[in-house]
Amino acid sequence: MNIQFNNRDPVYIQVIQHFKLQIAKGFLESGDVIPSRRELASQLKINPNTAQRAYKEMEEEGLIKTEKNQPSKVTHDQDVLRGVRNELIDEAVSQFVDSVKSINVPLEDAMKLIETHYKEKGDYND
Amino acid sequence: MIEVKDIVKRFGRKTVLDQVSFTAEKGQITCLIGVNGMGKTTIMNAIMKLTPLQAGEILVDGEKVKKDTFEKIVFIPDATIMLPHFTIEMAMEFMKDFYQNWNQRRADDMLAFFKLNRKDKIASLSKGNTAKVNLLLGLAVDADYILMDEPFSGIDIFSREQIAEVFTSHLIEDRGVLITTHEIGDIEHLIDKVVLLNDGKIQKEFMTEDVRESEGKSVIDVLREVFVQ
Amino acid sequence: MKNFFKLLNFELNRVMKLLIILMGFTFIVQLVGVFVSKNNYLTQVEMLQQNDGSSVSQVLQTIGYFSFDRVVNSLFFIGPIMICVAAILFYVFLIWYRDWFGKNTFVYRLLMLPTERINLFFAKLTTIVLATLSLVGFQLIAIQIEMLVMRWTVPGEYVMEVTLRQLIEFNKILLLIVPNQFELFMSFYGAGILTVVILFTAILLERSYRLKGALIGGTFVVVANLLVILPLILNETIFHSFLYNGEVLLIILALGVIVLAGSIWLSKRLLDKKIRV
Repeated sequence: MNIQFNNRDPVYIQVIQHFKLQIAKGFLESGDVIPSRRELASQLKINPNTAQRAYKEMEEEGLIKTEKNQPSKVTHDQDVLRGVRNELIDEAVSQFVDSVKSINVPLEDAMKLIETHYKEKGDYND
Repeated sequence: MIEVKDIVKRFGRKTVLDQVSFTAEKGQITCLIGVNGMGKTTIMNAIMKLTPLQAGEILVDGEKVKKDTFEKIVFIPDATIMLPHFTIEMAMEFMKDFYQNWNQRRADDMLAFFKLNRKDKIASLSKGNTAKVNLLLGLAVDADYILMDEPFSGIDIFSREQIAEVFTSHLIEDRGVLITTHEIGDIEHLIDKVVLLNDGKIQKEFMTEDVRESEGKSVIDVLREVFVQ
Repeated sequence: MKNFFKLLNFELNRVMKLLIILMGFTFIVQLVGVFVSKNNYLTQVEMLQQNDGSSVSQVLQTIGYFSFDRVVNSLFFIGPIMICVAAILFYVFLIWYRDWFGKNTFVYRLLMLPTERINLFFAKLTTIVLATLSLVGFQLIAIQIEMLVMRWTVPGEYVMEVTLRQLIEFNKILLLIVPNQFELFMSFYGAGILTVVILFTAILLERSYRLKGALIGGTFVVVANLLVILPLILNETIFHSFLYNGEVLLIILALGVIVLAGSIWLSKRLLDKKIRV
């Protein structure tokens, strides 16, 4: 596991984002055990407090579950997991739309462009 | 908590620390940043009672520093402070002799992690390995607080990486760490809190995640605002 | 207390090498002295016998017996003692300064040990005292061995046996390092310890205030010493020997104790509050 952090967004949010991506891509599935806070901190080379905070947020969002004396696991709640995927897709598309709209690309052209690019790059990416 | 309260330090007519106050909490990594000058090291020395102050006081967990305090706060300066003819083993033996809180298992773990040879003489070590021995001798004391003066300066990149790894490990967890540095880049993601020192005064004291969250600024951004005007 | 002994043990280990070198040097040079004195004497004997055909008793009448006293009075014997004294005096300074100026600044470690800092002071002081006593002790043993060597190499008829006690009584320098009366021994070594304590305090003044401290330290040494011998000076000058020697000595003893205590108190304060790395 390796993340290239940027320096301007809170590190804990970048960590959450990383987990959401893993879930959306299907690398992390419901019930999977995730590293402990300390393991995560040393894997990502971040402060253990930051790892702690990221986990706390993810617990509050219902992404992960931690039972007493058990390692944390990805939630079994399919709705939440689907939600994560939708949220990420939504975010990406909305970002894309913002950029193309700002340079006045009509919807049709944009759709065509998407299609061409999508095919060029193949169906799957990493 | 380490509380530095209104400390003033003058060398002759030059005021090095002018009413400096800040705190470093247990369980957090606090970074003392200053672009120039000696203020940072002087603060560390003052906390350990290695230099007298003209005014102000320093408390550790609400108490003035006395002999027993040295069991719960260790200082790792940027130069070796063991006798050069000592081997690493002898240095560990020395520490074990005097510190009740010396943790030999932890020392052995670090010896292995840093790939150091216990029979090596301290004087014969490379700069990177000297820094590692320094770190080992300090961190193997089960102290609540650790002060480190420029742990990354003047050593090779691989040693730097190894030392940075220490910060994210159980060796540091739950302790209060106060470190000084002038190159923040290496450790930007590691630190909880920044105390900015300029011209002997505290310019700013902030939590790194807070400024990222509320202002969208990196530590460097804040430094730039404060120092480049 | 446990920490004091640990520190003492540590300091003793550090001085050991120097002590062994000094002892070895003293012994070898003094042995050479035995042979030089013996050869000088025997050459004279030979000359008298060959040139004048003197008999043993005539020789003894002309140049006297060979006693160890001849060895003791030569530079070969006194020189090493002087060097040892100088070395110890030098070490009084070295024992502190090397912790600041060594390749690694060891004084950081020492000052951060979880123990009273004055223990450093006492450990270093005790080290100086023990080092001095072991050199003196070694000298006494060395003399016995050197006398043995003399007896082996000089024909018995020329040798005049002297005891160690006689040797000390007749030699001012030996008398200084091993006074033959208990009171004298105590006052010499007491004065020695007081001097070292005063010098230590001056060193700590310098280490706390640097250049300014060196001046204060120098003044401190002069004033402290003057204070102790003041009764002697006053009694000799103003009071025209109004007091008996014993009385003066008692006052000096009292003042000595006061200066000692004051000096240690000041050192403790400096170590706790003013010292700089």
